[in-house]
Amino acid sequence: MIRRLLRSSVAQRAGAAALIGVPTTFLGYFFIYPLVTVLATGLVGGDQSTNPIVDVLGSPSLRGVAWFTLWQAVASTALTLILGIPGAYVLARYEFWGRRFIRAAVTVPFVLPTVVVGTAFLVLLGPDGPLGIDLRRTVWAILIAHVFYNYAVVVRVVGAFWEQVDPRLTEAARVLGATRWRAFVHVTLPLIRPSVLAAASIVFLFTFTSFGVVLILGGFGLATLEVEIYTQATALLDLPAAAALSLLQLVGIGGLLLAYSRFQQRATGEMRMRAAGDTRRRIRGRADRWIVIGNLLVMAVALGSPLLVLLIRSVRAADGFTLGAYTGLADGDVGALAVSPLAAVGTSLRYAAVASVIAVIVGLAAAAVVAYRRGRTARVFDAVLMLPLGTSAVTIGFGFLLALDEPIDLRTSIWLIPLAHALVAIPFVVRSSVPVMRSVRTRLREAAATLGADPLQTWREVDLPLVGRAALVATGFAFAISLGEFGATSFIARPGAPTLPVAIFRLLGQPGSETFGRAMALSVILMVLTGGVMLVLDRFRFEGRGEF
Amino acid sequence: MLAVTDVRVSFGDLVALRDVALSVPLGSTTVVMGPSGCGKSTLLRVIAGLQQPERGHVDWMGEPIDGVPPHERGFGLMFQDYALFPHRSVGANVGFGLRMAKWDEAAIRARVSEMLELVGLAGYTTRSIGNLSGGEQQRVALARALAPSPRVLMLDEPIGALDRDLRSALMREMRSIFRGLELSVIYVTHDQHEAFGLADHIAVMRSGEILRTGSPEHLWNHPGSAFVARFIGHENVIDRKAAHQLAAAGVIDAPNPMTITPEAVAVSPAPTGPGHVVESRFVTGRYRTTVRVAGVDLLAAASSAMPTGTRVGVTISPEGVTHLERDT
Amino acid sequence: MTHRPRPTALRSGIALLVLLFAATACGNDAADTPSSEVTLLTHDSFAVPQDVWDEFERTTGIVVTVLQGGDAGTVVNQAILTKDNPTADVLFGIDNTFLSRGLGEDLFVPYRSPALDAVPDSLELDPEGRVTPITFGDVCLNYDTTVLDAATAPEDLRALADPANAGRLVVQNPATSSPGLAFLLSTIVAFPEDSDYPWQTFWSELRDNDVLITDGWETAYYSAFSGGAGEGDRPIVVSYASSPPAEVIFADPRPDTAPTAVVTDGCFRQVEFAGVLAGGERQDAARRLIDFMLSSTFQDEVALNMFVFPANEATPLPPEFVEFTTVPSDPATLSPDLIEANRDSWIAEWTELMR
Repeated sequence: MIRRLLRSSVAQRAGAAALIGVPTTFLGYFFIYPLVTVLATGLVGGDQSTNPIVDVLGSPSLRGVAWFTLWQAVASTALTLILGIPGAYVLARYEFWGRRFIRAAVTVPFVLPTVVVGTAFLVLLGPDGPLGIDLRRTVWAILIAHVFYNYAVVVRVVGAFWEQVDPRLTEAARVLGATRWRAFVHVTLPLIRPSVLAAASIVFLFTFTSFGVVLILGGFGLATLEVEIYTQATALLDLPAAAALSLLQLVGIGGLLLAYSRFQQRATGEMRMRAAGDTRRRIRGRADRWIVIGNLLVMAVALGSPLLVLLIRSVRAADGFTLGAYTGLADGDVGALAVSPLAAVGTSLRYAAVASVIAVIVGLAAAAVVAYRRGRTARVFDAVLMLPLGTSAVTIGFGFLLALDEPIDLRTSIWLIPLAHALVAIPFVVRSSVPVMRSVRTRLREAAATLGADPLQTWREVDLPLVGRAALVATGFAFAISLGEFGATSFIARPGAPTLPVAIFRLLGQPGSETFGRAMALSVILMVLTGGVMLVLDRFRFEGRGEF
Repeated sequence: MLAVTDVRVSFGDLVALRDVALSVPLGSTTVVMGPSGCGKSTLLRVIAGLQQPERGHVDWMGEPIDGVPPHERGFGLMFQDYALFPHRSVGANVGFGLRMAKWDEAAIRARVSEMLELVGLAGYTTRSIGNLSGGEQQRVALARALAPSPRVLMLDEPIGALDRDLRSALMREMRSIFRGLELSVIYVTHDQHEAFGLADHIAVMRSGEILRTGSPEHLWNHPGSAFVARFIGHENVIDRKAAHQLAAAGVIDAPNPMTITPEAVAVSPAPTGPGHVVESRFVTGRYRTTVRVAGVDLLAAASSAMPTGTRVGVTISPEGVTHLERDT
Repeated sequence: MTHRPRPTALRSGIALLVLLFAATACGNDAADTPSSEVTLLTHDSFAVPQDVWDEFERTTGIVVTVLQGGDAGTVVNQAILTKDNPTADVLFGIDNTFLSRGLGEDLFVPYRSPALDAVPDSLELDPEGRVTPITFGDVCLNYDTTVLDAATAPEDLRALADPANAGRLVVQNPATSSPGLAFLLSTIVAFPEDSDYPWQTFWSELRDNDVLITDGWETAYYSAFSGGAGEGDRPIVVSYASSPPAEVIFADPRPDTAPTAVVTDGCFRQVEFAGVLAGGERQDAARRLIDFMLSSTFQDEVALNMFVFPANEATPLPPEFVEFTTVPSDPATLSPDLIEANRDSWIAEWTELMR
């Protein structure tokens, strides 16, 4: 008995150490260390007559940039939530034909390179577009594109949580005389708040560090801090200024994240969860029908129309339609690529596979730390986990270059790309898992323990299945992020074949209707690939119904 | 034999268990009863290993098990709200402990069927937890707790939330299951009927302390204090103050706390008697008459109704009197 | 009793993914260990077919690893950041707008390739021979031949300020785009700051003439320009002298005439250099790589793969490059030192002016 005791406590302690050690080591080595190195090099290295931080903060144009960065991110987040929460409701609560397909499809925009989406929006938001008004190069174009990109974040993060919330709670409110709206505001919204906050934080970070969308759709004169950092670092080769701006960006985001984390911890309590399949119902009656149709229309317009533009372009010919762009891709004799575009599909899939595995392992361990240890340590950890999303891609890329040469020179390793992708994907894994993990009732874990489950088994048998949906959503995002990542990737010196976004970007770098068509076709392939992966992931089940 | 010695647990200022000692003989059912908030659930959690006591210890067969994590104790616990896994089927819930014990699939399947049959839910294996009624959930929880053959089975108010008929039925079933399997059971309830219906031993708790333990019969005959007597269902509990009033009125001899069975209270109409009838109800075949004498209400078993307000004389026959040591 | 572990969906999924990567990664590692290697760091626009490298390996026994890391500015910055412990042996793609910065940081060691004899002197911008010109390209105005013709197209830069050309021009922001910077530089050459018509005046006239500024070449060409593959409504764009041939080559079916044409006045020449990185361990292989990049095997490919012109004069141009475009005879140039000294202030001044 003594020996068993000893063994189990050692194993437990080792498990707990791994739980906190894995994410800490990963983030420490692949994020904090490079980040500190690049900032230190920029800010204190070299011969500087003036203090770059003072210079940057003293610049009058910076205040405008910082203010614009902040308010467009807040506005984008609000708009995305307003449109996305009803969408999440429909996909979480109703069972209808094509639901799975739509849930997979909303993720597609997420992976598309901004340069491709930008060309579609410039048509749709132009004077000849369906709106009939010219929104190009206005803030509206930026906001609309941000909704396009981030809608999936809200639908999937909030939806995965929502579908496990017991609908009887809302029904109870209805029976007590609450209207649909009041029941939503007073019962449902507080219940789903943790996931809404989680989704909002991701959308905020994404839009706060928005780069391509702002450059392409915002037009000349509108810039975020991210754009400024890029310009300083790569066009003006002014690393001190870029580092000072990065620091400013980090401090701002870090503060917001800490505040968020505090709020999130308070907002989340345990609750009785139900299996997702039990909470969905068929469409009954007129109100249901309008809710579903209305939301599907929003998705079709906001997400579907730009995708449709890309699809049409990929099959468009001077006279009618053609699949020439696709067959051309298969031939692969396109200048500026030097490899078959289809090889890029394979490269991207492999990177995405590795990146998602890393992100899920590190992310779930990190999420467990955040969810189960309350208090300040967990809050700080939580905020640090999110930072990679809010850090400029140039900074991360250059940080890798400066820091990762010893003991193993990873700077030009083929592993660096999936590692960078995982870094960006981890916040998603954490964000979509923590609210659910926190909601798993302690009672269920205790029940498992009294039935003979050790802590690891308890986690696997109770937490994982309940958190599994969220983890799957996270895996999907990790995969999608890796497929579409073009920020940090483009600042890493990469060996080997290009990824899909890089291949698309290179095709678009050449004039010619054929290269353009092929870039569009490759984008459509990226779309289909993403949608397909999402569908497959959605088919994994954790419910374990009928199993022993 | 399971023994709890001097266990103390507090949550902030609130002392949930105050140096509690309890021994649980094997192969029998020990009921821990007490009002809600008295610490009985905490006691179960300490025994299960879910709650670390600040001091004191838990011994199993003479060996301390305080450092043993819950999953290695082999004690089953059925929670008050059942804590069924919402994401698993009935069968998977019941088979959970067996999987943890690494049974093979066929054996698990057989055991699950056996357990479900035992609790009267044969054929429920693939049903979803979300669609069960309260009674069905209770049975699944019981089957789940029983399946791994725990060395000690603990049940925390297992049928408290159910309606009366269902409760009696389930109580009968549980009794036969406990007896049939010769289980060591610790059963927590606030209900005297459940306690007396199931217990081989009873422990009464209040405010984190165990006031009295013993067999049902012993406890009934020697409740020791007015609180325990009232809690286990004595109907005429006379504390010291009431005893003084009754003694002054000449109804009893000495002003000591006691309990009196309703049968020992004889009531007869007497126009100048010291008492009067407050209420007379017909319950389960006979009349129960409440009389007020010297400001104390006494319940008397009677064969006929008496109109409210009737002046009565009251006599107590000594064989129905149990003396109490303490008021509270 | 034996326990059969239950394969969970997640576990099998992860296993599958790991296997997938392992299988392909092993495939990559299976190549024979080469006798020697060399690493080339370059930008994302770099592209040559694999058989070019195969040829290099066949003749020299050296295997080339190509690292690509973003646009030209990013790559130069990467090289600067890692100059103490370089990731590569050769850098290709530093152009005359960034050259002085690279030289100032002592990125390169001098090497004079024998093949330089075939390169015009005008392309050799470093008197100390630390970098070798490999390709060049001209950033020129392109126009849509379905809207304008040789008669109506602007004949020089100044004509862009003409009211007739109002709302016709799209340019790139020099702060975020390499052709955008090149175009700004060409206007600074054409309209010197101390003349009666300085570039500042020209640009403010352009602004009044409703010039459209985009972030980069892609947006300008595909979404604002009306010619060729462009979908916009502006017939004049800042692009390259090689763009009209590309419009012919990358069109299906192939047209007889190019849908776009080049204005030969006001072009700016970008020369792209290769240099042996100081601190690289394989200097000999690096020098052989530079020789090879000036050889006909390599030079023959640059036109059709990167749409730039070969620095080696002996290289025959593809017929499309002869038929559908004109190489400007006298493109604008500025000394790299002058560009380096003024780039920031020019961009800042331009940004203030156009905001």
